[in-house]
Amino acid sequence: MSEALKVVIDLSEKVDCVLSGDNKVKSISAKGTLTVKNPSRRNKVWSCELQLGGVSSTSLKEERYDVGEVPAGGTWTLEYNIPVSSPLISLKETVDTYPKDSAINWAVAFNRVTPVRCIITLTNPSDIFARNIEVRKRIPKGFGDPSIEPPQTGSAEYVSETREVIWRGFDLAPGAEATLAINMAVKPEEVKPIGAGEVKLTYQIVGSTASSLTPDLYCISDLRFGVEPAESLSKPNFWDCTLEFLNTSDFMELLLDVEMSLVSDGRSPALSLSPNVELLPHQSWSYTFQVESPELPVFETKFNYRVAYEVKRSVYTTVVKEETLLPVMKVEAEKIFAPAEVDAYDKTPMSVTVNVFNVGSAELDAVSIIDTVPEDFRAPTSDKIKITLGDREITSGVTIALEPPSAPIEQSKTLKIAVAGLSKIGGFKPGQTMKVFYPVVAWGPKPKGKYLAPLRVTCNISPPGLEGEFLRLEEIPPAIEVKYARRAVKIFKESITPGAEKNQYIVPLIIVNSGEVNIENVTVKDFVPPGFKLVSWKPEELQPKVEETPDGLVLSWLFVRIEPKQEIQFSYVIEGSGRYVRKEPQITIGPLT
Amino acid sequence: MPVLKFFGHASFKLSSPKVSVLLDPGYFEGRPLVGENEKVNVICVTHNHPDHLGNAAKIAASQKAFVVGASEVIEKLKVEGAPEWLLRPLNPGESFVRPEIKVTAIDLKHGPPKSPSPIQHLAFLVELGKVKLVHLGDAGTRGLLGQYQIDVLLIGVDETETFPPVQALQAVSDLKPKMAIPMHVRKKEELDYFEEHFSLMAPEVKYKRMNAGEEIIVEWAAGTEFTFKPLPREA
Repeated sequence: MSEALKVVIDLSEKVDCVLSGDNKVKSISAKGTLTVKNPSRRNKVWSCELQLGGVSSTSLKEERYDVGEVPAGGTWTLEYNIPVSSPLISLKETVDTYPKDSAINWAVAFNRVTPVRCIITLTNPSDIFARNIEVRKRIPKGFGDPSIEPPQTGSAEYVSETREVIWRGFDLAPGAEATLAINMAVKPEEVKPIGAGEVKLTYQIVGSTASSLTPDLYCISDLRFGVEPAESLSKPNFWDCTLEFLNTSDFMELLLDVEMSLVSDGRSPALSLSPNVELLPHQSWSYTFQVESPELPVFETKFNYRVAYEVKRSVYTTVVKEETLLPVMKVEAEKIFAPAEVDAYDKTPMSVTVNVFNVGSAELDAVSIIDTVPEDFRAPTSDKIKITLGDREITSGVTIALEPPSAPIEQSKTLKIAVAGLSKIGGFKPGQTMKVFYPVVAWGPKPKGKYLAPLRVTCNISPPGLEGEFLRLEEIPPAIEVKYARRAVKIFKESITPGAEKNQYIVPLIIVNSGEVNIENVTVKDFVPPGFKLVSWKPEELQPKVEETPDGLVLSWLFVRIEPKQEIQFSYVIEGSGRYVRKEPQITIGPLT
Repeated sequence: MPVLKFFGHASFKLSSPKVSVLLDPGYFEGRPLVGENEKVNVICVTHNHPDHLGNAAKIAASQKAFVVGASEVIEKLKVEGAPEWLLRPLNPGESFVRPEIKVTAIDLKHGPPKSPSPIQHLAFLVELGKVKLVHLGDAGTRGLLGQYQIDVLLIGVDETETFPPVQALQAVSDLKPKMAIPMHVRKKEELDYFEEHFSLMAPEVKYKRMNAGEEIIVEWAAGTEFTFKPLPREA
């Protein structure tokens, strides 16, 4: 006996999903095709009526479809869409640019070799098996050849010709999870975000559909039916009737109901049966019954049968996850001194402005400046350092340290300014400028041409990873120019003239700053021979300090500051007798205080 | 306890319970900074520009206060009706002395001049009790200021008439008063610059920015440490 065929109702559905770089569903669509397939090579089916339950899970509006006749080997199709919100299998890819810690870092540092670790995770939260799973991950050129950690499920290999990692050869049971880890490295040479390669997942579901359609197909095919009445051998006017059905098709047919009435007797009911039997191809079913009739009975027969069918369900899903874009951290900086040039030997207040430009594509969370305050310059106190981002002054998350903390002015100092937590206030966005302003004082710089003040800037994201660096001002340091200003000072001691009283003499002195720069802590010493005493001085505020020595008195004056071209005239009166031996005054210039 | 009051621009009063000295009671933005009924005993006028001379003649007449200044100032006050018997011209280096108080004139040139013709300009050292206060007026040079011990330095920060901020800072750094108070400020950015750099240029000098109407006590605490504090408000 040949195998009984069934009409096939094939529900084939296809889901196409696109995930964004951060694993969110960007678009998803699902469509299905219901196909009535006649598998017979010989028998057609006809009077086909399709009844659908669950149409609300699809775009279909009707529940009943008049399929009509489907020839041998023929098909009838119905297409529909299915509203879905997510694929059955969850695909998640994490791209971590700092695998050393547990946090997921999402940016790369310009011109630095940055390790990148991709972890692809598949999760089946449903109660259905996903079969024939295949994952393809594209490895962009700049990332070199990847290193694949052997997966616990399936097998993975790198195909260098196509620059793809292919992971396949496994199913995913309900509730199961599978992961694949790929390690790469990239050295960004441009600031635009770098794509880490897209991921494509395909899999198949058999025996289930995304829609909830429940089809019921009524159709019939070839069937032979007959009634054989024969007079009873023992009872006149009684007829033994044999009812016979023969399945002449290749299908399995179901004989459901039979009703017969006797036409000669005014259509009185003669038989009512519900055999509900399955008839295999060429299988017959018969039933014998007896009716009373003086003549050959004539019957009117109604019967109900149908061809058996089966429903096949499958879903083929494609999930494409767009490549994760890795922003590039890059900062540049400039350092401006105002004034750009200072006088040697003088005290000059200066302003330093460090402008840090975010010229990359990553929103930064932290900036660190390692600056130099050269020797002979006084460093600012932390309260004088002002940091602004755009129009906003940054006051929290700022750490300032001077190293060594109490270095003397004559020693070079490192000023460390770290700003963190910028993400909490909107982040340091690409295109923005952070301004760091602080005062310094040139404290008697030497006329050596210039003082170098190197600067290094680093930046990072949140959570922090491999930091971005700006080194140019470390390699070519900004310089404070020192203007050489000639120092020159003259002291005159004019002729001694008689004073107002007898034995009094006036000693006039003139000190002139004939150089180009202020001079400070200028000490003038003049010498009074033995036998003379100091009587008075002019102006009153220039009282000399008097020191008695065996060689006479030593008078000294301290001038805190004498400006260029400034001339100070002063005099003192001595009284005494004897010979006034003239001695020239001495002048010394002290350090800045 | 000496009390220092700021009236605005370059006008100050240093007073003790017994005596008070008013410095440069000028006009500012067309109005007198000090009322004619302000109780004073001595008025010091650094030079005869309106923002320093102001209504000194009227205050002197009203309060029977002596006025000290250079001869140019005295002549102008005569014209403005100040009683002559209250006017005391001072030459550089001379002092005007009364019980508890001594005012010494210091020869300092006016800063960048408004007009080509030079004017007489004096700074004043006011000694009230133990406190030594110097009002620089519109001085643009420092002369022999370095020879004085100064407790309170009132210094102009105004590049158009007195010291530009950089030179004002250098002056404070060199003179090393116990405290410095900026005055004669016309541009906020100049004052900001002065304040930004003050502690670096003169870390040992106390700094106070006074607002118009503000009064502070300036004193030698226990005779060894110079301090200032706000004048407590009367209940």
